[in-house]
Amino acid sequence: MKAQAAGQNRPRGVIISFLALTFLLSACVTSGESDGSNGSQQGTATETPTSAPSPSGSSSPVLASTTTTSTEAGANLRIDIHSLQRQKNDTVVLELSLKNLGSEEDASLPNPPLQGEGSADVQPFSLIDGSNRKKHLPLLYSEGACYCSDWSEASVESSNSVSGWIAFPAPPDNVKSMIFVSAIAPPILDIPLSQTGKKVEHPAREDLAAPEIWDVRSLEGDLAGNTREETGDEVSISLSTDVLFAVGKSILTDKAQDKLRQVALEIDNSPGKTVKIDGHTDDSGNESINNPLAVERAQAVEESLSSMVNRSGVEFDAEGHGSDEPIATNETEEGRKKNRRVTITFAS
Amino acid sequence: MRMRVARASGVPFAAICSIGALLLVPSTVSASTSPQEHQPSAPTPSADSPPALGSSQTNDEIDDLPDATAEIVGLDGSKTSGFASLTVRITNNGTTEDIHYAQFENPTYIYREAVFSGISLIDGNDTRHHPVMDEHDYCLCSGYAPRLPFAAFVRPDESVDYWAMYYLPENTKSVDVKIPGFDPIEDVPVG
Repeated sequence: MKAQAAGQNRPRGVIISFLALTFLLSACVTSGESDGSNGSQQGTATETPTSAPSPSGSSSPVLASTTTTSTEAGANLRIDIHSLQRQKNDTVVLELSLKNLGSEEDASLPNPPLQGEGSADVQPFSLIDGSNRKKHLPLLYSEGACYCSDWSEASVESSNSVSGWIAFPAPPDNVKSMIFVSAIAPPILDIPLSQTGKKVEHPAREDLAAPEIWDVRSLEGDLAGNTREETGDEVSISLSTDVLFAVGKSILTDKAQDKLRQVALEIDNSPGKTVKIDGHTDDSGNESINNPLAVERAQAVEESLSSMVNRSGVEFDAEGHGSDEPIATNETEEGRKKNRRVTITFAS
Repeated sequence: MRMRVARASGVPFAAICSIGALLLVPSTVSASTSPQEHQPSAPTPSADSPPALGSSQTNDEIDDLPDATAEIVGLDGSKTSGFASLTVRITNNGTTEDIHYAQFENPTYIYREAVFSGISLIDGNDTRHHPVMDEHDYCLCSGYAPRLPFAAFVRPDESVDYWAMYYLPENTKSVDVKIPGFDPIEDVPVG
């Protein structure tokens, strides 16, 4: 990354009325630069490089911005997104800059992505493919360095900015936008993903590590204590055994039959051939009782559900897990209730 | 009050920008994208704008939580998927005790690391939506990568904005927001 001087102070009216199209767009998507507090300056897109410009050229138009209001720098540190572009090698390159709008103190910067001690090191920034519910992590080389412009600055001085680029694995061709996520500032939704165009590509070395694309799953609960989790590929419905069964029993209640009919309808409308049924308990009581109870309850759900599903060719696989796979804390009654469950999983 | 949040100077800049965007986006976007692509959302809140989406105060739900205010400064939905982003401004009205963001971790479900995972959105069907997480159980919310320059505390007389992401059913118009330790904030519109 290259340090660049920040823009001049400009009256807002002048910006709105007369300036060039890209300058105006930049001003409008960067509300942080209208900051009138803390003596912060009004940023502009007409920055003057103090050193050689980076390949990304942060003076390019700003597509969108987010202010790092959950850092010590607060609203004085702003992340500008300049482009999100597909390359020919199944990657996308995010061009961004981080600008210190303050007039006094340095602003700390996130490190470049790096294969470190934990997952946190590799994901200072990530992209979400909303259509397929996938999280794309920065691409790394085999020795752990990022496929990026690899900035070295730990902070940026007041009124300066740094700019650079980060490569990510590309989403499918039909994906037209992605979501920018960082831990330090609100996400930017729906950043348009452009095709390889006029800009120079950033070729990768040969030792690029395998891409990391993780499922993102939603998590929701209803008043009855049931939990629904969904990724882009499958649905998991966890039915509370407090509703499905009497205490310590493995015979389904009438309420259970109603709920299972709803699940069966979803399975009929789903594309997969396999339905997994997993019984779980909380961690109270004796495992020698819990484990067989979890198996028996999973089998009871399998027997009933298989009779309700009308689609042919669906196979059921029932297992019991005792208390080994909690989804909630066992420290509270609410959490233990969530853990006492039979989970039905199928393709979406 | 020392603020670590974005501030505007009272001018209705968002409105001006909306006009500017309407006028200018087509030309600008066409320079780098195909016409059917979407203009990105700009979520950045402004501290001086009124808390139009709602606010609430601490209650007695969490012991030792200082007197504080929570304001919803943004709830924006993606135009291309069910993802939505919530930004909450926490203001510490106390005089001595910090508020650690782990106060807002999910009280029930297990997320990896203590992060801002405890804020839930309740839709009109009484379904409670918790923040989304990745396959390694990291919350898609503020502070999942603690080595970053992240403000983990809200100090007395300060405000910090935190965010979390959700996946909402299609056509969700509004939700109630429940923040651990605060009274619910009702009928928050999804933008």
